[in-house]
Amino acid sequence: MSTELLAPVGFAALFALMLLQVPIGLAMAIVGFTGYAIVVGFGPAMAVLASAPIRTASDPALALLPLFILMGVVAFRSGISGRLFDAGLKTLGHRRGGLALSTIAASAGFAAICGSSAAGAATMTKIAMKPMRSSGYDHGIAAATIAVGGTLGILIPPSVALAVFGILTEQDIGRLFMAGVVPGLLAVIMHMAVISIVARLAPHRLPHGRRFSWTERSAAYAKVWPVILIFLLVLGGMYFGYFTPTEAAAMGAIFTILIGLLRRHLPLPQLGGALVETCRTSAAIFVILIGAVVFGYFLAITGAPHTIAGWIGELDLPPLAILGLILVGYLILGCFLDSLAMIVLTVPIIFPIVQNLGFDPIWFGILVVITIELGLITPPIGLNVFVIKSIEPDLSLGSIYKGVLPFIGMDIIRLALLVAFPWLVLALPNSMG
Amino acid sequence: MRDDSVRARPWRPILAWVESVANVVAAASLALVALITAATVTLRAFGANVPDAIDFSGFFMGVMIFWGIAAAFRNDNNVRVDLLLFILPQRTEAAIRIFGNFVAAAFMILLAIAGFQHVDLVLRSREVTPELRIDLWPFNAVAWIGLALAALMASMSAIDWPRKPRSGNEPLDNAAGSSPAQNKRALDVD
Repeated sequence: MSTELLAPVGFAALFALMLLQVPIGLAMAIVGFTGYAIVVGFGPAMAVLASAPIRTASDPALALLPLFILMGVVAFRSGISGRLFDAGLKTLGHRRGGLALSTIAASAGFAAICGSSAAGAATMTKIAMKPMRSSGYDHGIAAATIAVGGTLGILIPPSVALAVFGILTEQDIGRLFMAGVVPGLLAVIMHMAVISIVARLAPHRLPHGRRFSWTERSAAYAKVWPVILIFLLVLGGMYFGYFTPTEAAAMGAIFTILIGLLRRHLPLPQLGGALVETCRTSAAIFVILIGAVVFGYFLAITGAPHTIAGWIGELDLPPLAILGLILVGYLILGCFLDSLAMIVLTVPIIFPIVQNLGFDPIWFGILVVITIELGLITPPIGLNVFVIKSIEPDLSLGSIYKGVLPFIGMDIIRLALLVAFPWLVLALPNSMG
Repeated sequence: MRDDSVRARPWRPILAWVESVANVVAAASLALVALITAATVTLRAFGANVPDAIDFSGFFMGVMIFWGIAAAFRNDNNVRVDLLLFILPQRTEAAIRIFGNFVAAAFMILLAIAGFQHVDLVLRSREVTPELRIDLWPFNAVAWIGLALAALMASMSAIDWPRKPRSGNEPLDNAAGSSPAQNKRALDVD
């Protein structure tokens, strides 16, 4: 079989294995190993299989993934999210749609210490759904707010998705994290704007609550200082060049644990559970990364990225149109594929094309993550929507998707803004020490 | 009192014990990675360093990941594409799951064999850490035991089917975060 034909056959086999319930990472490794063995021979392929997994699993530069995950899990188990929601409620609760605004604010706060969207959505459903329901909120919009708030976890640093993008493309993860800050804040503002507009147009669907006194507010703020401290420690440390991303992750994790223990929000059994949970989550992610490394050998030998970049180069389209096509492709894939798998599968092929087109890799990383973020709330899969539905089974998927629609519209506007004005993404990373 | 599932599948308690050992080893390794890295940062402020810190972080990472993979196979925590399962009848779904588990198990066995070759290579090469001159092979061997256990767990989940349905609402319930095992899945999928 010619190497040119091998790549499409390999991709077909990969998708077939994935659909046939082979774990995504192993499917990539199987195809990568087999393809490499066909071209180079069984011996060299076994040599790849002998060294690539252990090299990937024991790469100290990748320690930031489990350490950031640990930070998020510990924060989750310390009940930080509930205190964030309370602080948001006491600040914004008196406004129309105040509970929904508080949910977005709390989701953003939780995203600042937890890099997972689904965890954010699950946590906020448990905390915010009941008060919104009992306050007479439209159930669909309430659930949609939680789903959309959850998507902030993938963009606001620390973000597992951005870290994986950085690892795959050999970009500075610290700069990628910094690049996520402004688009993340923009997302918070725009989501809040959607809630305010809906509340103004249909006040009965998003009523307002009572105003809290400054004493009550101060008491609530006093409980969320650890989040601000940890966020500043992690981001500030990276921004000013005191820490590498891995060191920032370790310091963040250790500080989150210490604060949880000292404030008695994290009993020791919970800490043990957090460590175990982190190991399993990290293991699942590393299976995909190991698969990607082995698959990368196969891709390299077939020259697929180079060939595809050549085809794209022959298209008589302006670079922005090609970028648009790539993002639309991500939107479509996001309807069906897990976000991490999508990054691992597509970035090694797409990234050389983007580089050839002369786009900034950090900027492109943020655009990809935002597009993937949209996939978390769009039908038919929309993972965050499913997470909420699983906790609140009486909600109809249709009502949640209907509630999500205005947010999707705003997200597309945000994406267009970031495409039109790359400095919104790049100003902060470019100013790093 | 032994329940029916234990009588019917006598290996389950053994696998549960292996899983709990894997959890402890992986969690301890993760804690060590965090502590070594944090200690490196802290000592740097005083002009000191942890000898071979990067190497030790890497070793414990390897141990954590491979032992974690073993526990992940036992709990079926791997990320899979469930898309096709939503539209298939139950019998076909079960057949596909069995196929997926067998392919995964076969490949994990191959991976464990290849991993052993790597440990053997490190043992023969007598590699040591740069500062403390500690042999590397024991760390690789401990990590490899995790890989071998992962192959065992993958094989057992292929044989010992069906433990639970994976299609429908089940993975979504996992994301709800109502128990430690479920919370993990919520983070997995990001």
